[in-house]
Amino acid sequence: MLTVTRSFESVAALAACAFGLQAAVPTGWVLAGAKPQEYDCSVDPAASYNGQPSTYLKSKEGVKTTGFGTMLQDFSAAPYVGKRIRFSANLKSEGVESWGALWMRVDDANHPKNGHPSAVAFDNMHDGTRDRSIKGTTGWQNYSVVLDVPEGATSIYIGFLLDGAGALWLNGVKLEVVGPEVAVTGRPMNQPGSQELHSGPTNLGFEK
Amino acid sequence: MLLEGVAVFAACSSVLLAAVPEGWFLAGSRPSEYDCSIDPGATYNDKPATYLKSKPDIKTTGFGTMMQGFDAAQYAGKRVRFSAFVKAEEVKSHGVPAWAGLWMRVDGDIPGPNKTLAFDNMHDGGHDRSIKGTKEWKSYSVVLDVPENASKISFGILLSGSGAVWMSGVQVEAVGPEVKVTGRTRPPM
Repeated sequence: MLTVTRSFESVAALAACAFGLQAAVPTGWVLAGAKPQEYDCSVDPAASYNGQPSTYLKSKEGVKTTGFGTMLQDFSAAPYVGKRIRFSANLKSEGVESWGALWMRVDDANHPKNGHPSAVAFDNMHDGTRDRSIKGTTGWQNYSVVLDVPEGATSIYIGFLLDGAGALWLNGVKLEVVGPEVAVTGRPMNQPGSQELHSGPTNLGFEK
Repeated sequence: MLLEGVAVFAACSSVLLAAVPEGWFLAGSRPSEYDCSIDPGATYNDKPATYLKSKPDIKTTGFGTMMQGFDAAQYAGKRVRFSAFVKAEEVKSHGVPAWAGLWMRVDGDIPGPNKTLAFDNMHDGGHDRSIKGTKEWKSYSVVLDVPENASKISFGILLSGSGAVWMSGVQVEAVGPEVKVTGRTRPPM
C-alpha cells in the first residue's frame, strides 16, 4: 500500500511538479523538497553511464536557491520489515555549491507524531555522524545509504537531493536487501527503548 | 555556516564523552577538535561551570558544541528562552572563522532531509551577536517560537575556532510575548 497521499499533504511543495508542470520527471518519481520550483529534473539522454540512462537534478538558471530540491519515490515497507536495505546509485556532480546526496527514510504511519508519520530511520549522507555528501564537481561514483527497517515500518522513501546551485546526475539506482556484514550508514529515530527523548532539559546546573 | 550546516551533529565516540556532564554530549562538525568538561576551577555565582575548548596544538577545521535535545511537547505553541552565563577566552580564528554562541533548534517530524522549524545561533541570520575574543561572564539568550508540530528541541553552546568558552547557570523556560524572538521560525509548509 503506497502512502503517496500523505507525502503530498505534508510536503506542500511536493505536489507542485507531479502533475503536468514537470512532464519530464521520469515515471514513478516526483520532484519535491523545500523549494522544488527552484530545480528541474529530467532524464538526460546525453549523460548515460554504463550504458544506462541517467537523470539530472539542477538548480534553475538565474534563480537564487533558497531551499533544497529532491527527486524521490516512496513504496511500501512491507517486503523489507526486519531487514537491512541498501539504496545505491551512481552520481556525478557539477558545480554543487552547498551539497548533494542520496537519502532514504523509513516511516511508521501507525504511530504518528504531531499528525505526521514518525520517521524511524534516516540517512542523507549529510546530517549524521559523518558528512559524506557531494560537493563541487565530481565524476561518476557509486554511493549508498543503508538502513535497518524496523518492525512497524510502513513506508520507505528514497531519492537524491540537491541543496543550492549546481547539478547532479543519477544513474544505476538499486535497492536491495543486504546482510549484517554491510554497515548501516544512518541512524534509528524515535524507536521505543532506543532513542527516547527526555521530556525536558536535564542537568542545566552541571550538578552531575 | 548555513542552517542546514549546523544540523551536522556528529555523535562522538564514548571515549570522547567520558568527561562531558551527564545529559549533555559533545557534537558539531568537528567534535574531535574540542574538549568539554565541568571545570571545578571556574564556578560562577557559586554554581559549577562547564568549558568547551579547542584542543591544544590543533588547527580547527570545524565547530564543536556541547548540546542536548529533548521532547518539544511541553513547549509546543509556546515561546522558549534558552539562557546561560558565558565567558570566553581568546576565541580567535585558527583555521576556521572564530566565534562562539548559544544556539537552539526546533525540529519537526516533517518529510525531507531538513527537519528544522526554528533556529538561532547568535551568528547566522541578520544580526551577529556571537562571542569573540576574551569576555567576562555575561548572560546571553536565544528565544524561539516553538510551532505546534515541533517534535524536538536541541540547544547548546558552540565554539568555532581556537580558544575556550565556559557556560554556567543554564535555564530553559517558556516566556511571554513581551520577550522578543531572536531567531527564525519557518512558516508551516
